[in-house]
Amino acid sequence: MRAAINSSLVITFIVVGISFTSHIAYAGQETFDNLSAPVDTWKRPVERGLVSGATIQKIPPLNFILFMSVLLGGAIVAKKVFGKNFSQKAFIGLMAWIIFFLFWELAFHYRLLTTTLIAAPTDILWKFNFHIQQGYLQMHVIATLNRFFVAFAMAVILAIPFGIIAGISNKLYEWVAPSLNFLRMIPPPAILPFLIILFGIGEAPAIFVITLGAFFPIFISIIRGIHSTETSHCEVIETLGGSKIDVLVHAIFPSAIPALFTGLRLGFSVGWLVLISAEAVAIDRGVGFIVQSKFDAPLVFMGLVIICVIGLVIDFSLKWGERFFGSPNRETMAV
Amino acid sequence: MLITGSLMVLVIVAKVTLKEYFAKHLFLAILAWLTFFTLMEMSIYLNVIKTILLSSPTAVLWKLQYHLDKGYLLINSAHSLQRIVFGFGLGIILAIPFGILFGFFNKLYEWISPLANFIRMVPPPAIMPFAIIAFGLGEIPKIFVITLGSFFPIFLATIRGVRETETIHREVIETMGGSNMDVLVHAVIPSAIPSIMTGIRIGFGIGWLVLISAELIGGDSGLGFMIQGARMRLDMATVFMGMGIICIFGVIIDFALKKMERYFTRRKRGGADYIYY
Repeated sequence: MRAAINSSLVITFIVVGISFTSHIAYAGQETFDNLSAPVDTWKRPVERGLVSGATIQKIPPLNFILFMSVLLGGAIVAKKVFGKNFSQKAFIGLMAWIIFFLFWELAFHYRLLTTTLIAAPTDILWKFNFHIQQGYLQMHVIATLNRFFVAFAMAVILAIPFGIIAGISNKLYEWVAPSLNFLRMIPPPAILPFLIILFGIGEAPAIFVITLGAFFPIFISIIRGIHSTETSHCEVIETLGGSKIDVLVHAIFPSAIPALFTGLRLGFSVGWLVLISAEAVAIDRGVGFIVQSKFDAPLVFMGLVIICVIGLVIDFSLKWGERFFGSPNRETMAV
Repeated sequence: MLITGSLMVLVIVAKVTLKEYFAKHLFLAILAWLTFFTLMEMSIYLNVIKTILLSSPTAVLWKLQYHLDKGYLLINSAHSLQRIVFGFGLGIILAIPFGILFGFFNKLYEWISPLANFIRMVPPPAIMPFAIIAFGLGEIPKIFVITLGSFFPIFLATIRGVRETETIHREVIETMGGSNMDVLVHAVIPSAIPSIMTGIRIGFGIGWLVLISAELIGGDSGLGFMIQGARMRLDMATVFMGMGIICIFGVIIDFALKKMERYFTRRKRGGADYIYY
């Protein structure tokens, strides 16, 4: 029963993910149509902040410093007042962030750092505001999410059945494993030039390379999960007269699910890394492309922060899934 | 084609005659690769696939010889290896002491971990442009990015290893009157070593990936630059050769690290057999 519920939950999870993806893909297409982005993106003037379509006021640094100090004080007071409802971990995290931003801004205020290399938080916020108003940030983020979810969904859809087949049949595993172990060592970005020739510059090579990057961790995790099924469980089912399918559904799948989620997290982190390098090499839209705009430090930092935030959100949701489905004693080796 | 075909026959014959001396895994691996190469060569030979999209193994071998003769391959590999040695070495040198420090003092780790988790989510290739602005063109930004990529896996694995130290070992040393230093040397570091070695292997995988993408983005030499340049000239044979060479170097270094891991964890079995990037 529990196995059935778990498997149906996993299937729902994947189906929702795919429908979400297609929704995003649709929205992304709509945004492109509305914006009618110029093809020659390297010369896009708004990207470089050269055209002031809308003049947006910069936040005065002193106000920012004051705001951060007030937040710091507020956090300490809140900790004192609601001592018990405020977890120590959240408090420390909050404090670390506030202090970090405060010192960052102060360093600029006292001219310890200069703006050519590193941007002040207020500059980054200003850039962020500007790009949101222009609609470019939305376009880049949607393009990245679209690309990533399509590729990741493809990796999952391919890796789960192949992983199950390769995990169950030992003969196939013996044939495939040596070659796969060798192919796995090719870093996905190294295949990118070949894919660019094959598919041309655009979405296809990027999606393919991300799929490739995310495929192997998921695939191998599933094989590992299936191999870690306890033999006694299978034997119990066989002794009680269960068929091979019973063994599969009631013993092998449930024990593979935690490994699947570990694999999803690993696959996500590799795919995310590959996504950024693919966008830097082959594509003219997406957050990886924002980061490529050299010599505009606030823009580069804004891109970095956005990459971080999206990455953290997806990683957090996968971690939640892992904790929900996974057994508590399984060690996770997140990269 | 003839050579691979005859090799296949030879291998099968050898398998049949020398059944006991020939490991099954090795046999299957060789056979799988030979089949793959034969199919590839045949598809090119019979014009199923155009040479502009895929190149035949013979063309790749010919290119390999050409690049070896001219010395390009040697220079590019040397540059790539030099970068990975410096970057990865620096990553190890920085990550292990910091990991031990943060694992040992829990308070310090609690303050740093929110920031570290955030920075960890930035893929190293994304920092490449910033590194180029900050350090200029040349070797330093690449080494910096590789260091960054290989730092976090080793750092986190070290912290995990240090935290896995059994409390009993610690307490025994403290009861016998040992100082903090004694605890560190005799209990913490020995129990952290297997975890550190796993971290080093993962760190190498990521460092190698980052090296190639850094060379693709902003390189003037190295294996990644070689395949990027070949791509621009539509020289598929060189692209495939470069991919093969990158793969072979990765496998060799990973194998060496695996052997090292085995050596260091010989007293504590059960490390990671499967390694993700």
